Amino acid sequence: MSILDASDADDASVAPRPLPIAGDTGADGPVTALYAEHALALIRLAYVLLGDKPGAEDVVHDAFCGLYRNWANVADPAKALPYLRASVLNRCRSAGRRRTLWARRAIHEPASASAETLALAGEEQRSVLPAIRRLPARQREVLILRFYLDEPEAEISRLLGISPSTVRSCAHRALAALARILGEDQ
Amino acid sequence: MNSLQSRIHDDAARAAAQVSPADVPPLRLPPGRRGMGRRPATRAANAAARGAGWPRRNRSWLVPLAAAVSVVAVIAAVATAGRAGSGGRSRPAASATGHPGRTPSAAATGQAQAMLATEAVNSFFPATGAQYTDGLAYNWTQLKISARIFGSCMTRAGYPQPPFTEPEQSYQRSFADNAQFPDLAQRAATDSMTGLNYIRQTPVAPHTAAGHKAIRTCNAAAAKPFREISKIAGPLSNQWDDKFTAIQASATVLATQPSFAHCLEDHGIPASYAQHHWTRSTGLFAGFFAWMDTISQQATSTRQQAREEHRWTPVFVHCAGPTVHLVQTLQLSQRARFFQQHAQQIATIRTLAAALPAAGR
Repeated sequence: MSILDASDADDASVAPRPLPIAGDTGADGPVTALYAEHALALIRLAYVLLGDKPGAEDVVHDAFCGLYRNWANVADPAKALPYLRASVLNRCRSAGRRRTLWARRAIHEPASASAETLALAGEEQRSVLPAIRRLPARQREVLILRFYLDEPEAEISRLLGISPSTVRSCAHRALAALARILGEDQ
Repeated sequence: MNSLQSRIHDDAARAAAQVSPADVPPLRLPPGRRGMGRRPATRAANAAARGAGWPRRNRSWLVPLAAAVSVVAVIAAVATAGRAGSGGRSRPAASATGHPGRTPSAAATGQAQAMLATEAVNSFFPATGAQYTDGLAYNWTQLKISARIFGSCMTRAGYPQPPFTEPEQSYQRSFADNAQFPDLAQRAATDSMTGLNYIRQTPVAPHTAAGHKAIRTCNAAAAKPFREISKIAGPLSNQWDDKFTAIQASATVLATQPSFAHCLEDHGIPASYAQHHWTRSTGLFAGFFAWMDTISQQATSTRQQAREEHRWTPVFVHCAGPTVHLVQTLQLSQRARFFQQHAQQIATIRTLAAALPAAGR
């Protein structure tokens, strides 16, 4: 299943197949079970990508709601997890775009961070994650999937809907860009 | 895994660990039918949908990270940007620093340095597949120079490193970007969509404070020759990324997508793949790649996979041709304007690149 399928699941522009009433699909049990098993890992993935914990929780919660609504289309339970991961990646991308727009608007607002937040921000600044979040979405996703989750190229390729060689070149470009950003910041 | 990759892993894992099982909110599944109540658009609305009484958990991750600051914070000295397959250009022998047996002529050295300047510009600002491929030569040179400096430094510290042995052409063939900068000539010449596998060398040093310090120091030394050029070219390259991305997402370019899809169908690729619509993340040729992924997964051996690539690569070259031609024409024109607008910085990048030692090409 490609990432497109997952984004289509909540895209009103895509002609939906007739779906039964969600409650009639018997989805509650399986979706709840999936949530119990995978929500933590998915929230962690979203948090690494977004750097925003409430945002990460929302993204994952919405992904499960999307799965629930489309349960009839995910007949094979084995495909549910790839669907969820793709959905989380898509939603992180959208959330990132929204936040970027917001960040541009808010750039002149005075800083009012607490000492605790500043301490955390200092810790965050020493991490490579802020630099990774400055990369284009696909590069960011490839780096996190490859080096955080240790996913093989083939799986990343399937998940992002791109060819394995593009995964490789994307990771290559992302590492180069990351090194440049880190170099600039030093 | 090199040091930068390790750092990504460590930092991401450390960040992820801040989310504990207690942080997972209860799942509130939506009632009713699909379409009768779209998911809430905002976080506030979302929280409301979960129920007003749903408690926001304590932000336990806000507690400063008291422990576990990784020692391994080594930036990869050898920052390289990906480019694919060599265009088969022959290179003049150049200044072979560290190779006393060779004494290339001044003219050859000058020619090689000028070529390196062009390759650097193509590496940071590619407009065509061929330029993208050409730019990889700069990355390879950068890698080689860094490896030599790093190796000498580590040897002085008592940790000798294996020599850098990656051949330039093999390195270039490892990083095809078929989505953004398809090099159709290279695809046609190799009859393959995929590149080779480049395996990066990892530093050889003990996991001790002294070993880590040596790697850190030597990485910094190896990165030094490229610091200035990266400082100028990095931000400019990001701007260029925005330019070509906008071109590839433009209505003019997207208008070629139906023809591309029809061409794929004419060559036997099912419509369900060929009609795969464009998204910013999948790029212009998603239908073909989706098809190739399926074919690859069904192949029972690497030989069969190679046969499939051999069969379908010419289809890609043929069908993608008009789109690639249009995209490249627009990007070349945009690049010319971009270079005019940033003439001074481009000239500086060229000068800095040409001043790099040619690393024994």
